[in-house]
Amino acid sequence: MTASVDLTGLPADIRTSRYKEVGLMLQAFRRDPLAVVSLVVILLFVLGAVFAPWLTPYPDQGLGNPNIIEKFQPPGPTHPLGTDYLGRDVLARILYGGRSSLSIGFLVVIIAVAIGIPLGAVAGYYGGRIDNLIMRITDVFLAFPPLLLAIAIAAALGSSFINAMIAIAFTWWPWYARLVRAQTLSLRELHFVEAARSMGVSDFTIIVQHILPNVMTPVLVQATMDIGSAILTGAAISFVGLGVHPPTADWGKMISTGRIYFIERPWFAGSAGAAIFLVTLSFNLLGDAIRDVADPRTRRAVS
Amino acid sequence: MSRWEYIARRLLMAVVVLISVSIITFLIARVVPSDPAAAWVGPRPTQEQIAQAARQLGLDRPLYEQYLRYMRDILTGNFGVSIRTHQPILRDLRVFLPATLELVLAGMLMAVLIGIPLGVLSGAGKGSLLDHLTRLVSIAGVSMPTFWLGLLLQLFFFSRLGLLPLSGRLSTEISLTSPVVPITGMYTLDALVAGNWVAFKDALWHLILPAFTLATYPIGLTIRMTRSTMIEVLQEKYILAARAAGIPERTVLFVLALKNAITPTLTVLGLSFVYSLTGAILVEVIFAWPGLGSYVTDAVLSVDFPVIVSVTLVVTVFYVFINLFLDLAQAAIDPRVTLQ
Repeated sequence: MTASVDLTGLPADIRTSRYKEVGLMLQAFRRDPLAVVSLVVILLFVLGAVFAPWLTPYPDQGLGNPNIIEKFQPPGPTHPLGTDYLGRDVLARILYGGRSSLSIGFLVVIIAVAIGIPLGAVAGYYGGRIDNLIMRITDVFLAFPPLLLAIAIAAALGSSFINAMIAIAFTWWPWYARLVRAQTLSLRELHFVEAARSMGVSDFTIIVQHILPNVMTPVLVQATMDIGSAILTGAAISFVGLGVHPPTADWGKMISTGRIYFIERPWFAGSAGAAIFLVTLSFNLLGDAIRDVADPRTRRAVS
Repeated sequence: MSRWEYIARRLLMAVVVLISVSIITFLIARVVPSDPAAAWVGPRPTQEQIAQAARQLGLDRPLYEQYLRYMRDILTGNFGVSIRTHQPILRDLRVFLPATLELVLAGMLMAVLIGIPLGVLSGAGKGSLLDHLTRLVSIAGVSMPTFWLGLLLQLFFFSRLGLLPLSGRLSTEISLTSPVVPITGMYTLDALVAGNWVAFKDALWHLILPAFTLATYPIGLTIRMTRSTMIEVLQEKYILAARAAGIPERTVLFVLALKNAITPTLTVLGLSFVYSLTGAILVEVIFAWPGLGSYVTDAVLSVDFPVIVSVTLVVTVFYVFINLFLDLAQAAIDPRVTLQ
């Protein structure tokens, strides 16, 4: 989840092109058909979550209304994935559950990036005491076991979707701060930055216009690889009883409520687990494929 | 930087980190929850009760004084009392920590025994069928929600095959007929030391599924790391020389190449160890394994902050020490580390 990517050795055409992220994606897809499949799976789940009300005949059950008469129906024609302990259609729950489970993955990474980029850029650009201070703070956060810190913070803030998200993001940003700092350190010494500085361009402008655009690629690669882990962590947080409240659908929660019935009626906890697994696997495969083309070291190992 | 200077700096850093960790856990415990005193008193307290609890808990004192008191308590082994059970937390930790460690160590053993050989072989046979298979297995391993895998393994090995027990650490009959006398608190070890074979076998049988569930992520990581460093190392000239000298391939791979490829793998194993300490939380819930994880999830459900924070602190201290140990071990194996 934390392998960092060093792009300093990339050929200039990839590093400076405005559409390098798109270019990397396309290269990754050409090289690795599995990456295409992964992207399709991810898109299917995202679209399923977005258009859930129109995709299922049971949108009320997806939202949480029980339908006790039909509880514990095994998968069949009317309920392709069966029904859960409250008689709700499992497919509807999976589609609706994607809303919280997927968005927590995306949001955690976005927050972590939003905190990590400015801190990392400032630390790497100015160096010295500021750098030392920021890096020691990241050291402290990295000293915690992430899942446990997230559980402790989420428990302290109180169980809710937003709090779970904040708690996980709290354990995640130091990785981005480190990544951005390392990139900034090497960029700082390059001629175009020196030239800008000698022309009297302000530090802020240099960081925003010259450093950050060159930092975005490794950050995006890392972010792609992290969304899967963030979804997994989000599921774990709601599995231990924090995160969204019932009756809101959530994949982690579906496993925690379904596990006591699992041996006899595996379909509802099983489907939720399969959803988490598929999405996380897809993000990991996609991230791997992108890293393979982005990271010169593995690129040599691949070709 | 000399090696001693490196060690000294690293130790100093660990101390700074530990102090900061204690401050953060203190803040989580005492400051973030809206009203710890109200939580202490229980449901529907009166104003006087809350005020009294606040005085008792020292919450009316200035923050730094509260922190110093908290540190004094922790350093003397006083972790406070569980809100839910009203038991001293230290006593609970003594029971639950060995159970978790047993699970984690068993999982690590599996990661070493399965992950390293598979990594070496797939690195050596880059592009082979085995390589593709292990890549798939390792990436699946890091994508698998452990709690789901645990359920699937239970379904298969307990319900379908009837091979392995569903959950717990010991069968009820065994714990009645040949109980394990706790020495370390790790049942397999204790039974082994006492020569209690019946209990040993039973404890081992109970250990396999949860340990394997916990090991999937470390196995995946270990395979990937070993594979990629093996690929690099195998391109070195000394490997070519060794092969040209007619040294058997097995020796080339598992002795000559692995020796130089093992450092990053050791780091990954260390990371896996600390990962497993928290991964155990989820595995323990699934397998009803009475360790720190079950303890802390029960605490989460009943909002038992002293327990949550104590477990966080204890596991984090472990985490810091293992990372420290790893860095020092790495410096000992590879002196170049100290040059950074």
